[in-house]
Amino acid sequence: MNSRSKHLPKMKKKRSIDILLDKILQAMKMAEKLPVRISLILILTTSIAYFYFYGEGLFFFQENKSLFIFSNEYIQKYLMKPGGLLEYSGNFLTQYYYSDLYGSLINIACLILVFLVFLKTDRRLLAGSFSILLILVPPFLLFFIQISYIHSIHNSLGYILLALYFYFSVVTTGRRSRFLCLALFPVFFYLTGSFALVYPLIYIVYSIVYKKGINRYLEPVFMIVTTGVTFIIFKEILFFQPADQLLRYPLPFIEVLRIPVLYNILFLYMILFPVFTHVSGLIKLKAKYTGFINLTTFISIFAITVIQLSKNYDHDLANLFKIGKSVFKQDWNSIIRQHETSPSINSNGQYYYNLALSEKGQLCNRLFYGRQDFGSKSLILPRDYAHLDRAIYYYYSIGLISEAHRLAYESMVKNGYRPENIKMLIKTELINGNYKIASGYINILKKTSHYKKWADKYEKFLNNPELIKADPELGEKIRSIPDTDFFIMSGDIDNIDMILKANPDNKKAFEYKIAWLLFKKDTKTVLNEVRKMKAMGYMNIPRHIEEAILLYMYFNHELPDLGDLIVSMDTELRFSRYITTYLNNSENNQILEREMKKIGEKTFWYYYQFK
Amino acid sequence: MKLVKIIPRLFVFVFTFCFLIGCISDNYNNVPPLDREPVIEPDYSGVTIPTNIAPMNFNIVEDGELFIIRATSSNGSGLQLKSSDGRVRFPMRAWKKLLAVSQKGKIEIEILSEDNEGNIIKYEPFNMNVVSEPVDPYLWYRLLYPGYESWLDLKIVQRSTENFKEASIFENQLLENNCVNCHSSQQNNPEKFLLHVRGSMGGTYFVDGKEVTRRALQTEQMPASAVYPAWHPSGKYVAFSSNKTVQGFHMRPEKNIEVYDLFSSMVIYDTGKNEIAAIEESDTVKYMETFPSWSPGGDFLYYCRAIQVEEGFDYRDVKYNLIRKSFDQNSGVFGNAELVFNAQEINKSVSFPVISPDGQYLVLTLHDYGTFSIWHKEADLYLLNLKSGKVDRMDLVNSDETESYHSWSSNGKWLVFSSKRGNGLAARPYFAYFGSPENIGKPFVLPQKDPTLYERLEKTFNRPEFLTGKIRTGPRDFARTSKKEAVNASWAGEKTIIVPNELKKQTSAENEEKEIY
Repeated sequence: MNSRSKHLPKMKKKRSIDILLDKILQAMKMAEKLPVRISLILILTTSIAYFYFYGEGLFFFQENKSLFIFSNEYIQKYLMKPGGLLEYSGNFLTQYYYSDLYGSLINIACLILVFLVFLKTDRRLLAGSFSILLILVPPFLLFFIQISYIHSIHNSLGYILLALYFYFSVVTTGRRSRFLCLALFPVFFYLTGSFALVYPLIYIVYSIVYKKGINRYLEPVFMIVTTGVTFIIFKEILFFQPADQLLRYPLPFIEVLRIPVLYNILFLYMILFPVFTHVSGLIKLKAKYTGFINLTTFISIFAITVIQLSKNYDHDLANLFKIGKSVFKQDWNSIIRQHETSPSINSNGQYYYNLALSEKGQLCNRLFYGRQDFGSKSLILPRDYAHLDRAIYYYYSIGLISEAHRLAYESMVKNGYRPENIKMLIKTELINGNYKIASGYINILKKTSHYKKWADKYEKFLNNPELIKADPELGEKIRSIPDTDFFIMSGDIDNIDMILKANPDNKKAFEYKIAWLLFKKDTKTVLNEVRKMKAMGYMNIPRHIEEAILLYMYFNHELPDLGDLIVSMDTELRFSRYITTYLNNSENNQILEREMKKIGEKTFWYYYQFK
Repeated sequence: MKLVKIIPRLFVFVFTFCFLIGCISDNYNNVPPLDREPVIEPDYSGVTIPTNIAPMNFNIVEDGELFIIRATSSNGSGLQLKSSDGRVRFPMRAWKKLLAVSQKGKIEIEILSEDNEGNIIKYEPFNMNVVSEPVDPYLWYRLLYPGYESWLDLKIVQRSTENFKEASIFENQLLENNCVNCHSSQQNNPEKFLLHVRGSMGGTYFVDGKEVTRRALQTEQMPASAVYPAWHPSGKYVAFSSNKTVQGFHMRPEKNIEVYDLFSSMVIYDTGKNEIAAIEESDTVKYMETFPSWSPGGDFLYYCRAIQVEEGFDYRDVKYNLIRKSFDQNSGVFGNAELVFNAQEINKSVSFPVISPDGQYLVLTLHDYGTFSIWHKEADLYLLNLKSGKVDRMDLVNSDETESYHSWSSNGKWLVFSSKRGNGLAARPYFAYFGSPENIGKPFVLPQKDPTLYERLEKTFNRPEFLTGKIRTGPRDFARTSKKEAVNASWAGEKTIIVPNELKKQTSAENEEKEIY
């Protein structure tokens, strides 16, 4: 036996040990990956469940907040300010939000990206027993940020870039390259705007916690100086942006100029993240304890998420977005159906319902079929900034096209291009015969991805008044333009009176007036208006007007002049039943309201008596 | 591949390409011309241009895959360009050379187009007339949406007329998005001007060299703020009209908006003493006075005047006449009002009187009624000969759309005016040559580097005025000044301005300041 054959069993033994060791290592790696996989599954299931099944209205709302245009002018606007490109990128992504699936995927992708960047950073810093908890917090915080309607996807991109920049700073080794990485801060500031200003804080904390020697102080000082100099150069030389704008753009600001609290929590978390990882890294627990901690983390995060979602889910807001979507589609039947089956308690939701009724010629027939909590305030919205975009539809509906156009223009100036304000400008300019201006707006929509077809359709109307007149929608609006001119007034009812004076046959304006009077419970004036109805082309009196007539007759004991129209037998019978029920239960108020609701909740009588 | 092989091949390629292009050009020469000019935007056919104007870039609105453009001067020298998209952009140097050799002559532009099947069309050439009188090197204007009430980003911009460089003078985002309006320089002087800011940083900002001061001109004796300015040629005074302006929105499509005054009067501000005074108190309850304008010598103040409106008035009945008052520069005393042009007599109304630097002519805007011609489609420019008193419509410069605000160049040979002839909504600055009343050139719109810009730009050019040089003050100077407290002007007059009582009541309800365009 030679020496080689002597060593053979030993070698075989050693090889089998190696294989075993490899297997163990692989198993360990698998075990290490398992929490990460579970985390990903947790993020995916939670976000898919929410965004896809509940996010419909959210994406619709966000998509309609801006209009992405493929043009040089559009991008130039964003190049002029730090953080502009972030908003530009966000708008680019948001333009396809008309697809709920796409919207869900984009939002989920952001969460996954945040998770992965934090995972990588954590691994690079000092992974410890609480790593899973530490890296799961940011995506879940971002998830709660993303489900807010004021959120825009560019803010998610801002967080991702901030986390990425920090990750690159951490992985960059070598003093020179690290300083180079920090020296790129001005570029990062230009790209992400105010998000960048959080970075120096993260880096200072990181340096204090992780660096040793002179670098512990030198790099933070370098960072502070770079940030300060960048800020001054941006403010004083490069951009015409005031300091507060540089500090806050493109973060969302609510009216009181506060950043929503969750945004700040996430920023604070990112700033303290190096501390958390450091502390976590110091605590080395046995694998079974780590497993227990991970399991507890999963269960608690999932539980908190579910509890928070069910607690904070704003059903009425979702309902409103859904109604808003139908308004944009001009799907009036769907709005009526939705409000009557799942009533909105929001004044804007009820305004849309009344608008839908008007568009279907049902305002005085079904006004009280849907919930009405705001009286005339949900009939006509104020023309202030908060209601601008929604108020437009009422004026368009009743034929005050010039006012609808003015409000759409104001919206464009104040809010920038939005699909609905541009569409309204196109329609109103076509109706008013301003084809050159309409053509300009059509060209804007033609440079979008989603509204190009719409623009192509309306382009055919340019310089073709006959085609416009033949169009069911535009033609009707042309016919409802006031024959004589007047100035729009601040009083809503004054405007209706003026348009009725100019166009006495305008049924939509007339019914808005009657609805307004019904809300004001002014049956006498309603009655006076009924006399005009025959001449306007009414063959029957709408249901709620009949109800007002009977109520007036009941209280005043007189037979009014209805101008050749009569109250239907059906309404008289219903009123008789209503009065009988009232008389039978009038002694007990609680029972009375319950019984009256049963018999006449959808009537003017019930509104008159109990609202 | 080695360089020795590349160079000869490249040479052969370039030679062949040039030869082919030359052949194509020769082919074009033999094509019979069409009996019409090509459609170009902006319309620069037949316009009169100065020798120092920026390249007159334009867009050819004709079908074609390739366009060849030949620009030839009267002496035969010229340049040739090719365009595949119809956009014609003259190289700066070549254009300047062409202008230099075309003085007092013409530039002939010949355009040929070729479609994808090789069919060639040669259009009838058109001309640009070149005059030797230069235009002032800068133009400044306010850039904003031609909206109704709201504004977001407002700018005052200066643009070189000799090239395409432009720079912001004022950007409202640096002043809490306040509104800015009524910029006005002292006789085209870039060193001395003013502008009003309305809002939290409000005041009238005066610029003198590099110094910017913020002043509050409205005193308690004035029922309305100082609005339309006119610098006295000496720079010592500024005449303002103090207007209470309201607006109404039409519900018929023919008109958008009506802007009118409830009361207005003239005040004079002494820039050195920081004092303001009524020009004549006794007139204020009888008349409404607006749009002041000084004669070049500073001896007369011209303005527009209408009978004071009363409660329930019809805005269509308000007609302004052109009035003037003599002014003694030593004593600061005004003479009596003289009627210069009775527009009411012809059922019209006057706005924006501006006198030529030689004092011989006055250009005004004439419209059907009221004071705010910007929203009047029928508003046109008229020339008043101050010697003969004759008023003539400036036929060549007017269009079917609004022509309104206008001003003279420092040499009196050029007029810039805003016109909405493009789409009826946004105003653009048009330049018109003024040799004499009989020799007025066809106007042209301020040329742009991208000739299609006006098709896309939704913003309007408001109050275009010439400048003899570049303004050195920038947006940050105004932002810095806005942080300082405004210096209050003091009232130097004996009497306060009197406002009819019923109108006082009418305006007291309006607490929100609105922008009027």
